Amino acid sequence: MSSSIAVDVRDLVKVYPGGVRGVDGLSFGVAVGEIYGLVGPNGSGKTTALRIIATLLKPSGGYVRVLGFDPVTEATRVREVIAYLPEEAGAYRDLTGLDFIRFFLRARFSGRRLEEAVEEAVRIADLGSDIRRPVRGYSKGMKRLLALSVVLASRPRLLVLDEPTSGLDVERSLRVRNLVREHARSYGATVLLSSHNMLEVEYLCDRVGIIYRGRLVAEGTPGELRARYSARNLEEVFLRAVGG
Amino acid sequence: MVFASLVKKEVMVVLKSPAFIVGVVILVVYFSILGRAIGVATEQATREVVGSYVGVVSEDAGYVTCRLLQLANTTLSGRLIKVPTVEEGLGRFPAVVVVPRGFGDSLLRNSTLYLYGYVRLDSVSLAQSARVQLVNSVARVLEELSRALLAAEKGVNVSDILRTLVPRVEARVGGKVVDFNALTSLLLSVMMFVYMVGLLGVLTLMYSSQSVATEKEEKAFEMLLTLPISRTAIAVAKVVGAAVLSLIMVVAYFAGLSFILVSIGTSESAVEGQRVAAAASLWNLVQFLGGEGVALLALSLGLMLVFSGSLGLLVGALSSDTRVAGAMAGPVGVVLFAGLLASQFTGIPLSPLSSLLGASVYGLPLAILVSYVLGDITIALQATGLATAVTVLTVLAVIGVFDSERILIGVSLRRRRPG
Ligand SMILES: Nc1ncnc2c1ncn2[C@@H]1O[C@H](COP(=O)(O)OP(=O)(O)OP(=O)(O)O)[C@@H](O)[C@H]1O
Ligand SMILES: [Mg+2]
Repeated sequence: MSSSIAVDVRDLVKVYPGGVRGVDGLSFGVAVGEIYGLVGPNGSGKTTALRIIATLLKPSGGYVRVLGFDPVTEATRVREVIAYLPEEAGAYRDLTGLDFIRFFLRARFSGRRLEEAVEEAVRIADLGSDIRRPVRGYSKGMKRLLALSVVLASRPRLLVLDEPTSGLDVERSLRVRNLVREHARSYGATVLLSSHNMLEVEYLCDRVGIIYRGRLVAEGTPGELRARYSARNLEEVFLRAVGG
Repeated sequence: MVFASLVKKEVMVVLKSPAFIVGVVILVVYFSILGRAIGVATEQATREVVGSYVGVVSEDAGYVTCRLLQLANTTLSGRLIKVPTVEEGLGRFPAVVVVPRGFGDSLLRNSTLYLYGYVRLDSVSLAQSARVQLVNSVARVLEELSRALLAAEKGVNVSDILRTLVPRVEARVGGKVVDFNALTSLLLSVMMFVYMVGLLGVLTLMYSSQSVATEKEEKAFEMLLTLPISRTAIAVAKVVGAAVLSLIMVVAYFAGLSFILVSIGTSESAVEGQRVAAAASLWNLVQFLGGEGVALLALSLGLMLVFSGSLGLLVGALSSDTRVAGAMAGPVGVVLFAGLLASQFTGIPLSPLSSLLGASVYGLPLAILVSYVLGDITIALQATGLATAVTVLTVLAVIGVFDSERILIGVSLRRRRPG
């Protein structure tokens, strides 16, 4: 096992109760410090794969290692080194944004470190005076930013982001992308994200994996993929990879 | 038309939920069994009071008393059976009356008459306390007849004879004689305690099931579950939180209730009297149970809170949202609480088997009561052991579910499709 591999997934299978196969023989690897994007049609298994990596689901078969730890038998070790942004992240309706940030960061930091992390999260969320209002009154994008601010301020070694910019406007999406990239570069963090936005993936990701019906059908840098499918952009790559 | 389809949607979204259907089935089955049990018990109690034989121990061999008892026996269609001793009588009949020495003389002197009644209690229930009616009905007949007898003797009108016959009733429980009124007030205060605790338990169940389901709905749960904190700590925090909330609720409830009682009381002294009586019956309970018994009751309260909270967490964890959690927690709570209510009618056997009540945790206080009434502490200890085992198992189940992916994806009630 190489220590330069942050996420190692081989022949991963997940059968949900009821018999649906969430992922079915998925294999991919993410190097340390890399930003890796999983793209694929709705229901192709992106969220399933990320949830297994984030210790939320147990795989039915296959091999998974996250920074060298097994998410099943060493779940706590994995949770210490990752931060996970779920597909639909919300917050406690009756707490304020600030309460929410403080509650989540207290699980990882204490004392001065905690105060610094809270400050950083507040800066990332950039919600102005709304941060002191109950989450009940937040818009979808505001809740997304709040959750994202906690995940980034946790300064994990691996960021697992399920559609990080879904529901955000153009300007905020751009800001989030820059934040994620900056985070990866300045702290040497690894990023594994899923997205439906090919522009985002092209701009942000070092490597891209295209997942279709629970398995990987193509993988490479955006440039490599464009060349392989003789496409002008990743959208064309996507359509050709999952179309035929 | 649009409105009709809106209503239809509201009904269908709930009706289609398997949890709702399971809940309805639980309630229907449970209440039909319960209804039958209560019906049988009430019928039996009524039959007992109406048709039962009563043993009579006559310590007065005088002519007047013998004549009186003969007449009474005719009036009661031969339901009075002479027995040599109270012990023997209670072995054969649910109630025995003792006509004391000098009864006939008192009658002729027209002074107050005393009659002693003994009832056998086999179970703790309101129906059983109806056995006292047996003694009372014999007392009423004897009173009427003695007035008639005296009137005939003195050659006056029956209505001119005023007479009081005072029945004194004691209860026999497992060979021990206890003052019947004291026992009744004791039973009432224990029932009060049991209901208060039951209410506390059901509320805790509701709060803890909602706390998980709401967190899922608010979409913060997945982030919480990926934090590097132990899932057991998360679960325990939820149980404690739910218990605190329900304690606040129950305290508010009983404070409100006593406020109403105070407000509607017209005379201050009557209210004061009630309060003194309530305090006295509580004090009765404490004295009856002793320090050890009170400690056991406190422990039963703790077990009930942990059990309810954990059960609620199981319901909430396996439900996909608050609707499903509510549909499941409601029937479970009602079943537990209605079980307590039913015990008043069906009765709790005053036998060592009552320790099995401990397995429901909610019935533990009743088992402790039975144990102390019978004077057999092992029943209380066995029941507490059972309740502890059930609670521990529930807690282990919660920890298991919290550590598994079931907490996120719930249980699938549908069968796995082939292929
Ligand atoms: N809790 C669940 N129970 C049963 N099946 C599930 C569950 N969650 C997901 N699935 C199934 O697993 C498959 C993959 O779903 P998944 O959510 O991983 O897709 P996705 O790639 O994230 O899709 P999207 O782009 O829409 O988010 C789908 O067929 C879905 O129906
Ligand atoms: Mg998804």
